[in-house]
Amino acid sequence: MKNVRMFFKKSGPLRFVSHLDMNRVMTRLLRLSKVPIWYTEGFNRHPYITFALPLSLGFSSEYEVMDFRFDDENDNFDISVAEKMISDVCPEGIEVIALKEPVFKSGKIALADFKITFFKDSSATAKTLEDFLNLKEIIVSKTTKKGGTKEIDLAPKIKEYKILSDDELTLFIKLPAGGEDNINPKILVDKYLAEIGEQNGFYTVIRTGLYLADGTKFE
Amino acid sequence: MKLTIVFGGAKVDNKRLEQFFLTVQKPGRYSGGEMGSIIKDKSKVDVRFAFCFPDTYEIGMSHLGMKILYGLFNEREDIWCERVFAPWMDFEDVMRREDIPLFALESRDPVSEFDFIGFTLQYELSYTNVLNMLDLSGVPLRSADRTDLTPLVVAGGPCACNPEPLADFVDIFFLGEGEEVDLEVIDLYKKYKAEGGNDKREFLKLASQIEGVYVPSLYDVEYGSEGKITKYIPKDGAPAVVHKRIMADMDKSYYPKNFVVPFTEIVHDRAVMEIFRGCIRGCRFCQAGFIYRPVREKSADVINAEAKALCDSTGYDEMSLSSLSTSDYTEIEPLLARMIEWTDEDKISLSLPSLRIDNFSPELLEKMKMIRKSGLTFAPEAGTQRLRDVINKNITEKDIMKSCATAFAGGYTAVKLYFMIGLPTETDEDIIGIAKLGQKIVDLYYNVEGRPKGKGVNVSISVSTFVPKPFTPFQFCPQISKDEMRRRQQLLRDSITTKKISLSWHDSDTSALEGALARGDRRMGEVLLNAFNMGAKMDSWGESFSYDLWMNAFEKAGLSAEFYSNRERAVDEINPWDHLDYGVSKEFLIKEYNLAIEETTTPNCREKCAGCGANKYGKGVCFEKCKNVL
Ligand code: SF4
Repeated sequence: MKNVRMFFKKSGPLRFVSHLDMNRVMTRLLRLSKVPIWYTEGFNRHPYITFALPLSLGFSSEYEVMDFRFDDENDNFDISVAEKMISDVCPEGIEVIALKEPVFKSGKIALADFKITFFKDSSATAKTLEDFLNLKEIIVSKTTKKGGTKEIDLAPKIKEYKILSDDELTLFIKLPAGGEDNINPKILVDKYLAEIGEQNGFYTVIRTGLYLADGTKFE
Repeated sequence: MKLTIVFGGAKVDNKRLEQFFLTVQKPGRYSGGEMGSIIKDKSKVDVRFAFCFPDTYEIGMSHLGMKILYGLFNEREDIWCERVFAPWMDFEDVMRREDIPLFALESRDPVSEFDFIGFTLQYELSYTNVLNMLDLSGVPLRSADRTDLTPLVVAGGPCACNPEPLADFVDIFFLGEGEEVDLEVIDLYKKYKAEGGNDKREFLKLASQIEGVYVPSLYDVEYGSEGKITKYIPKDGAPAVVHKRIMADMDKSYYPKNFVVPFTEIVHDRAVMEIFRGCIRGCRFCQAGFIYRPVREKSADVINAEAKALCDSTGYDEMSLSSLSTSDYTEIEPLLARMIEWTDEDKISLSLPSLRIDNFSPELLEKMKMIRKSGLTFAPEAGTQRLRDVINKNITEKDIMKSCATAFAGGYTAVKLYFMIGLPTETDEDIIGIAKLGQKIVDLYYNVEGRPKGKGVNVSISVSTFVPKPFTPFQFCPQISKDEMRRRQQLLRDSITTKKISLSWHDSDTSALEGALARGDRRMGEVLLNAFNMGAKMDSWGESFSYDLWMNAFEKAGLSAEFYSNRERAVDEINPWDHLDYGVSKEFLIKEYNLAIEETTTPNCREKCAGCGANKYGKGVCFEKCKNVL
């Protein structure tokens, strides 16, 4: 069996599909495409698929990564043909960027880029946002894997950022991602909005890229 | 897609609406855009139909009838049918706070802008959701208060066989199977509007002439001093008796080639293939067994082809066959043999609810190993043979024991049994009989050679409360009181002495209400309205049901639930549904009622016709024998 990595965009109605549900959605998509995928053995056979890094409910993504395998008889199946077969059956909200052979192990992912756009009626401004991000300490409470909460300081986690303010206020930010250390941009932005006293500040989040610790693009 | 929803002066654009979705549980319930959902250009259609399922997305999306009508309507270029579900309480709060009207999933347009708002009535406890959905649409609840031609509020589904409790709110009921009559009414509407018509009353009068259409506002009801109905008076040329509609030829009936496949988890998330309608058995408590008569099968060829097409277009890896009793399908063995060929190849698991495999060939059984083992379940419904004869449930203790023995030898360690409490003529002995039957199965397990080594057995007994329903031989029977129900439940609990039997109940509080709504007349409309105004909704969800609230609602309307559910009805009493014809005659129901009291069973339709009246449709099981003779 040959490993195949699919890069795709997730947006629109797929924003409301949780990580758990994505498994089912992509399984069906692969089945529909008729690409010769490898199924797990056993009584309840299902296609073997894994996602490189979960995406929070509500986020869009311009760089989602999913691995699957061609079945044994089809090790030499043309990857570009498979790409076309899957593209042809994608619903609105899933767009195939490319199918490739995997380069890195998904455990290598260490950083992610996000693009956060505030709604026009939000009182967020470039000035207050910048001041907030430059604070020496940004303490928030984070839920731990065990279900408890702990205080963490987000300030040192902010790798780089850029603020764009024209028609809308947009924040581009790089944050730790992956198994080692993972920061959901939502906790940072919600903290900021709380600081400026905004109750129901709306914003959208797009994950725009995944990188290794040294900044190499994850492929 | 429309960008702005305007309601009560407030504006919520799509982008903001989507952010609101994210503030509640399961946003996928509201976001739409699923694979297989149908988007049309609304400027290019003549009729817009909002198909409303008065319960949550997960339940509604699991419903086959909705899939059939959604596909059927949307095949027509001039109609756009969209889906609407009842929002869960968290999103309802947001909607009310932010002035977001109830919208259809496909276009996100407000339901109030549609030509038709159509509800499917699957269970009585969804009636307050119907009212709530109308209210969330900003549409007046009472038919009489909606003076414009549109939106027309229509409803169908099994509960339409006694639609009277909703008579004040719904303009048109469709009786029986909707495939033809719904489109006939839509066509009439199109024509009426094209000719410049704009008068609701006039349109309803015209519609009432279509077979299968019941317009409740065209009937006056008179009541006697005891509150019983004395007369139904049709007006304006409405028919004195309204006949249900059925699809005569199932092979030629529309079946969807594609389903809307949800992104998020729903109750039954799989391809479903209907194999026949109706049931030959005639269990006397079962409404479905009577109102869908006569049995009409689809041929194995057609099923096989449609099933394959459906799996191909949806990508589902699970398929189930749908009917009231899979084993009664006459071509079940050849059908399965053919289906297994491709489901195996395509790695699709077949699930076959309530299938008896005793008579299958060893070859097929071998192949069927691929079929996912569902649990071992039986529905004896009653604890003694005497009571099973009363209800005409043709399953003997011997049958159950035989199947269990085979199953235990084959490695099964769990059995699930379904029973009802409160059946007519039920005595304490019948209730103790439930526990005894459970015990016998436990004992059997330990006597079976080759049972799984070192494993115990679990017999789970699931008990629901019997609710007498219209168009069944038990429509005349009193439902037992809440207190008596409690006593019988306790008796059963006390009769079970082993931990190997587990007991579970369906809520008995709701069944008292279900009973009153099922056999209610149109005065119940006020009770519904009162309950709705007091905050009743999602009544089938135990957590939000309040018995006391409903009793207040009855009291405020000057009515009592007992009147509707707890009294014996004379066979010559005029029932609220007696002017509706579902194929089975009242004489037949009375005859069956008497046979029940005499503890006498009635053979099924294939053994011997019992003369229920449904042969008048000229189709189905009533003529199978003739077919063979010819
Ligand atoms: S007429 Fe006879 S065969 Fe036909 S449905 Fe009724 S009982 Fe069954």
